[in-house]
Amino acid sequence: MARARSPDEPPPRRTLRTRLNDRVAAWAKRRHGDDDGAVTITRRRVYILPTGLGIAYAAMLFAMLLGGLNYANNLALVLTFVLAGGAWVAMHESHRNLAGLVVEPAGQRSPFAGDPAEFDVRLHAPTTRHDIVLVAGEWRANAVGVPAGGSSLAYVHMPTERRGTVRLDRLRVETTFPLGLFTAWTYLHPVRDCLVYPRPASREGEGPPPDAEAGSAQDGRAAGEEDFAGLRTFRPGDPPKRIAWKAYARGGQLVSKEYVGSARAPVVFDWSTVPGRDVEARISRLARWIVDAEERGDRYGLRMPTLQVAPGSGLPHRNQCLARLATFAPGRATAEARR
Amino acid sequence: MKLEPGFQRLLATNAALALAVAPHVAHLRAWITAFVLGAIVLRLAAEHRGWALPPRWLRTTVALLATVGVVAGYRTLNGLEAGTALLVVMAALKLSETRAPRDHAVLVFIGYFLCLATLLVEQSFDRLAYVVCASWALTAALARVNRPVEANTPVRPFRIGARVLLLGLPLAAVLFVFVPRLEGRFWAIPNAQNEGRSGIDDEMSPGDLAKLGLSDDPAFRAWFVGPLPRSEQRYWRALVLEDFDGRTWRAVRLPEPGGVSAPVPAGTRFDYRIALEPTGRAWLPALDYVEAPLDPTLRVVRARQLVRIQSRPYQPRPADQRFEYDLVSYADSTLARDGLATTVRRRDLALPDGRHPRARALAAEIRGAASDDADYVARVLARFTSEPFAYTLEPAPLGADAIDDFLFRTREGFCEHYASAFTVLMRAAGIPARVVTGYQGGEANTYGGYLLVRQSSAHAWAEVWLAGRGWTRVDPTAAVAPERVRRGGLDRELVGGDAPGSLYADVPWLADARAAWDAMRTSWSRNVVGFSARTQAAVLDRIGLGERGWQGLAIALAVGFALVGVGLAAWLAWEFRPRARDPVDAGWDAVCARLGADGDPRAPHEGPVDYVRRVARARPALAPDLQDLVDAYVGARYLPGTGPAERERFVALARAFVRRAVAP
Repeated sequence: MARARSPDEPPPRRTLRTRLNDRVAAWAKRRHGDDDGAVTITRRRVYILPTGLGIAYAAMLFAMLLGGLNYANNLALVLTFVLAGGAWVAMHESHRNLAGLVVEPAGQRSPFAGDPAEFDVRLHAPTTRHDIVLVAGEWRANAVGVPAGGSSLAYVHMPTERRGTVRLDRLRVETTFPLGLFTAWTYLHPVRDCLVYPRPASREGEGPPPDAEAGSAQDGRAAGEEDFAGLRTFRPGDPPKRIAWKAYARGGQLVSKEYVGSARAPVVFDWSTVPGRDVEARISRLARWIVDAEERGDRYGLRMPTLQVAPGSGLPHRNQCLARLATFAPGRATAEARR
Repeated sequence: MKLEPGFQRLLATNAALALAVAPHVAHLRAWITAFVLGAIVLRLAAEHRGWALPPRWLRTTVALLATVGVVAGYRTLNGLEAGTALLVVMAALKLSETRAPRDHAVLVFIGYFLCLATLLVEQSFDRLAYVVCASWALTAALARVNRPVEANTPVRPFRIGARVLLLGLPLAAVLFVFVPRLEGRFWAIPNAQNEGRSGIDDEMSPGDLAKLGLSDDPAFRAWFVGPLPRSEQRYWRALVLEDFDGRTWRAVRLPEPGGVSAPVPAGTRFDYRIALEPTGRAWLPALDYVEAPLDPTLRVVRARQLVRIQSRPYQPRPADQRFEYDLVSYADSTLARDGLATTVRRRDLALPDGRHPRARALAAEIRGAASDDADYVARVLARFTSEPFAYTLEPAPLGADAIDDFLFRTREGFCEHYASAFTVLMRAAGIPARVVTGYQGGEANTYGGYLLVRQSSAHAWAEVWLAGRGWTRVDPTAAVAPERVRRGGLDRELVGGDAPGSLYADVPWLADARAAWDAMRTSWSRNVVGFSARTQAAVLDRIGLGERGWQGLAIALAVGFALVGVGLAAWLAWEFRPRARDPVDAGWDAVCARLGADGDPRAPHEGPVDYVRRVARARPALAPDLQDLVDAYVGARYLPGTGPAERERFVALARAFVRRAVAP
């Protein structure tokens, strides 16, 4: 762990506790390897230790024991031993509550850089489980229960800073059920990557996307002046602006307004037309244009030095474009541009 | 009324705490009870109304004042009462800042300690039952705060608490039996227990007591190895009173000259064990005449009285706790048959000078008519029956000369009067005599196999020394009220009214129920309350580890722990066994297994729809069936509003599909 640190670098703010945790997790990883797909938490990989409350409880029992022995008071000892027996059963119950649980990766949601990425986890169990908590880094999920033979969904958030990918490679599944005297936990080592979209640049400052190149307004109409054609059932991906909220309020069903001859011809946002020199700033700008275009319901495409996305619309399309931006490697781009 | 979850949680903790405080209210200062009640009500109101909790400075001030109040009120903090008061005050203070689960846990822990204090005050079965209930509520409160509020119903935590405590009982039993007990104490806290003092006094002044107040409480219980003594043999000798000043009989504390004389065994041998309730006295009841006991803590002293001694120095040790001792007596054994030491004879003939002139005259008159000492005894007894003497628990008060007044004027009284007057008449006629107090009688308890002797069986009789026979027991009360002796204890008809316990005697099933209850309590106090290092050693002996001492205990503890641990693990494994599978899941798995066996296993990432699409492409012949199947599966599994009908339809389809696929 010892590593040379430059003098101006702030000392890492890691407590003994987190360091210990890391050590144990690394050891557990060596012991169990990476986890792919659905993982059954076998009893071999459930660890258990008393919590702070559990230690206080033990101290209390010890004091009670001394009192009972001192006074040769057998009923005081009965009470002490009944409580000790309870704690001991609680330990077994904590362990049992985790063993046999199946943890399966479910969906994940890509965030814009700076927002947390969300990883969903599905928990299955053959028998009823209570108060399972997922922990990833700083994130502690709310406790969830699992019905016998059923499953339930939980999620963890991972913080992100920049576009690219964020990896969930350590997941702590823990429980303090039933009394909070013991915490049983296991480390899972899934290898789950989640794309992090570039954060769209702010709208202020720079002008609208250059759409001259796309030759959009050729039919002489301004944006949004399409012909209203009618209503159709809402489909996921329809921009919120197109939803007929009044109709929804009246009828209770989500419907979208449809327009004919979508006035604007497809726009293609071109990397080379984005003003500025800073790569990240330009990518953010592109992300802004894409997000805005999607919100307006435009058809849009993307042209980067190394790749192209044909025009389209809808959330999957938007996400595809943003994913290209997320993984865009400027080094390669400039190299290719020079060629 | 639907309670908000946070309020529910606080209410549960407070209720459990109140249960733990309740048994102490009788001993607590009123202001402390009011303080904790106020704190509970205020905290609940604050939660309900959304008031802010008191600021830190206020809490600190109140805490200081309350602590000072406790110290000032009790003058100490080192004492059970003061300690309890302090705990209660701390709970009340903690309540004012209770928000987080940790705060709740502190309250629960204080509650557990209060439960312990309850048992330190009194060790009864009812107390323990109450305390176990309170601990259950406290444990439930602990479970409640550990869980997310939405996961709890009002009842669920109680189920969790009950389950945890019940499953822990076997371990508790192992710990109880094998955790080593201490002799002595680490530290002493004053006034741990104020055991009741009852039983026989080492003084007796028949004229003084206007009314004999005898309670129905048990004095002791006796288990016999062989047959029980017959009722006329049930004389439990405790104390011998030899000095008389004309009004009061007193025990003599001097040692017997020439050593304690030993009885000559004769008649039925009784091997028995007595479990004595706390009396606060060192004198122990025993059938006359007791053989020298094996127990080194017991000694036979002057006039064959049995006392309990402290190991060093040889001081009498009052029975301030229940304790048991083993004895041997012979029904017809004789004492000092061959003669009486001169000093003893002188003491047992002494009468105060110039007192009881009429009694002395009466003695001279009867002695003149009697042929020998034995005849004299019979004639005196006959006089008690021929003259109008009466047995009563509320005799008329006696005048200046208690003996003469009783013999010639009032002629009514209870055992003490008769024993006292009889002994005086004996001494006046030159027969060495002394008063013996103890118990007479005992109810056989068929449930527990013991004789129960109550305080109301306390009795006094006389012993006279006759040449050639030695000390001989004479019960003058038996002459007046033979029923008193035959039935062993007081009798309602006899004493005319409300002798204690007599209410039950008339109703057989009530008496029976009472006996069963007493047997249960006795077994409880012998085996649980009275469990000691000695009992523990006996248990170890029985399982063959007795010779190893503390190592034996450690082995027993480890083995017991392991056995109980395996038992619990097995029980939990059984309880957590996979339940019968959901038929829909099982059907789908069977379909997948079938297809997999045919060469198209389902990849882990494939959902049902994707999987079936792939297989259908590879094996178009199956496509229509598969499509039906997956539609039914998705319908049964995921579509809202599906019921048993859809599930059954899928299960039937899956079965049919698997069967068809198996067929060639």
